[in-house]
This record gives sequence, C-alpha cells and structure tokens, in this order.
Amino acid sequence: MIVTIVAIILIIVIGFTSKQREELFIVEKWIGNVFSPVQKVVNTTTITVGEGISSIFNFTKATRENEELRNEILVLQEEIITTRLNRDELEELRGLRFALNYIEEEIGFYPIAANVVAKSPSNWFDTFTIDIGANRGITKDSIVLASNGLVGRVYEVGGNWSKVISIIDNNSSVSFQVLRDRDFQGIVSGSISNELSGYLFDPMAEVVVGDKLITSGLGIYPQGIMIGEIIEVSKSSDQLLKTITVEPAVNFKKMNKVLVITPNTRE
Amino acid sequence: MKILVIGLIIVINLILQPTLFQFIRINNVLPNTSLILVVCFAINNNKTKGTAIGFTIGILQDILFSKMIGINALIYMLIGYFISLTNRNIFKDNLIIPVVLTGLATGFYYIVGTFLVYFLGFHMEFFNIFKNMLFVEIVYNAIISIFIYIYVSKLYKSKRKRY
Repeated sequence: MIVTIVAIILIIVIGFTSKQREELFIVEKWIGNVFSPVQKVVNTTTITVGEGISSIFNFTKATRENEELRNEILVLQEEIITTRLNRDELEELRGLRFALNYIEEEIGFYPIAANVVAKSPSNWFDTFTIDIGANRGITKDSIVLASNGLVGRVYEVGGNWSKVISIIDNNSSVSFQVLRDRDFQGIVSGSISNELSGYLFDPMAEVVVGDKLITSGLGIYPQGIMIGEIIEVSKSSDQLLKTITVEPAVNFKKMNKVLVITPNTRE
Repeated sequence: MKILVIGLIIVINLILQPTLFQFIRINNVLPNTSLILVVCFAINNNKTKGTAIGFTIGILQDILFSKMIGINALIYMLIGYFISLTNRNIFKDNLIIPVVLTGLATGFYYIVGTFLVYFLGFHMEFFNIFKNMLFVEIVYNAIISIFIYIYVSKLYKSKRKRY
C-alpha cells in the first residue's frame, strides 16, 4: 500500500524534475556538498595511483612519445614565428580600429579551473560532477572546456559542486562549422556509444575525413571552440543530408581537469 | 547496529561507483553495483527494510548524479519490494539465487527505465541500448553480484549465529 503511494509520488516528482530546473532543493544541495569532497579525494587518489602504475608499464612508450614530441616542437616553433608576425599586424590593425572609434563587441571570458569529481554511474546518460559550484560564481549553462576542446555545459549548480552534461550525451547537440571553411555548418549530437554524429545543413558541402570542426556560435556555446575531427562522411540516397561521424578532441575517459567559463561575465 | 553497517555500505558504494569503478568499464558498460546491493539486501531482509533500502540508494543516486529525481528511486524501490516479497520462499545459501535475481532485476531496470525516459521526452537510441548494453550489463552484474552477495550474507549470518 505504502509502496504504491510512494511510487505515485515518485512518478510525480520525476515529472516535475525532468526539465532543467532553475534552482535545486536545499536537501539536494546539502547531500551534494557532503558527498563531493569525499568523492574528489577518492577520485584523485585512484587517478594518481592508476597513472603511477600505468607509467611503469608504459616506459618504452614514453621514450617513443618523447621523440615524437621533440619533432613536433620543431614544427611548432616555426609556426610560432609566423603567428608572431600575424599578431604584430593584428595589433596594428586594432590600434587603427581604436583610432577610428570602432565600437568593440568583445565578451571577456573568465575561465575557472575545476576538477572532475565523479562520473555518472548510469550507462545511459553521460554526465559528471565537478568540484566548484555557486561558491565560485558558476551559473546554469556555463560552458565547460578541456585544454583541447569542448566538453559540455553545466546542468545543475550546487554549493561546491555542479553537474555537467558532456557533448557526447544522448540529449545534447552542438552546432558546428568546419574550421577550413566557415560556410559549412551543421549539428552534431551525442549517442549511446559515446561518439558524435551529425549532419551538415548543406548537402553539397565538401567535407572530407580529417576536417576539424569548431563551434559556430549558434546556441549557447561561443564561437571557435574545437569539437573534434571528422572520421567518417556518408551520404545515403534516401537522405537529403550528409551525415558525418566525429571523433571528439577531448578524451572523455581520461579527463580530470576542466575549465569552466560563465556566460555574461564581462571584464 | 546493522542499520549503521548497511548505511556505511550504501555510502561507500556511492563514493566508489562513480570514481574507482569507472576504471572497470567493459564495452563502455559500468556494472550497476547499486542495483546489486539492492538485490542482495532485499534477499536478506523483510519487506519493509528491503523497500526502504532500495528507495534510499535510489534517491541518493538520483540526487547526486541523475538528470531527474526519482527514476532510480522508483525502480530500486520496486525491485527491493518484489524481491523481499519472495524472500521467505528461497534458499539463501544458494549462489544461483542472487545471480538469477540480479539478471532479472537488470532487465526490469532497463524495461521500466527506458519506458519512463521515453515518456519524459528524452532522445534515446532504444534499439542500441538493448542491443549493445543490456546483455553485457546482465552478465557483468550477475558475475559481480556473486562477490557482493557473499559479503552481504556473511553480514547477516554472523548475526544469526550470535543469537
């Protein structure tokens, strides 16, 4: 009897809480505040120990990687020189713009570093919690980045924790543009098998495997954040759209430090 | 005293499942240790306790990780209730019992879970869920449940001997 009543109440609660909420209940915040520091300690310990163990086994791999990185540095150093030249030119142009009283529309983003505390134990949703929340000024729909690409957005904010939905989750989708040519735009969304797939608005767009995708600025994500690389392009005859499969730039399995940028923070 | 130990196990599971156990994913499937705990406790407890334990584990997991509150609480509560209803009629020493019940409970979790998620309007690839995940998770959960059941029943046996 009680079971039936509780079940009915729970179904009502599910209905109420299934949409994204503005504010969490006090009880939820408290439980999160208590659990997340402990989870953080356990998570950091396991990652440190795991990395220690794997580094012992991957000794030979490390030397090879070292060699590769050295070669990469040489290439990058050359690139730095050209970029510096470009930067100087840009500085000059900016100076000119200031002289001409051109109104700047620049939003200053203020990134905050955070640790991943825990990943969702559910196999269906791809969410995780981070160790900062309202105490550091995080708001709903803040954008979460890793060092090399887009991770997701903040879904719910607690006291010293917040839940993040990653872009490979079933329900999230990101609008992108191809880095090579900004006219090629489209939408990628996550899937249950943790890979991104999507389509291009223009069926005639010439995209190839290996094209890099960045966010297009439509929607809540700001423009110019790396999403990933196309690994498959397919076009079936019964579909008018060109579909692509994307490998995300961020390794979602080995992710422990993220950056959070809050929207509407102007410097 | 027993309640304290049960509470401690629940809390430890809540801390370990999202952190340490993330490293033992097979085929991108994480064993649902919360579900296994609900099953193991429900086999050893009466109706009220089994249901209450299921509800507690579920609601805590929902609050900490889930997108909506109540979905795990509802499923775990029902699992706890149904299993503890049958617990007078089953042999508690047989290890086949937790394996079979965990397998059934995992199937139940998938059916009710996808049903609820579908009606909440979430976009899910249900075919892929059943194809790629259900079987792997049933087998994985069933294997893990043996170890957890041995530990949980030890907890109850030692109490029985004392009195």
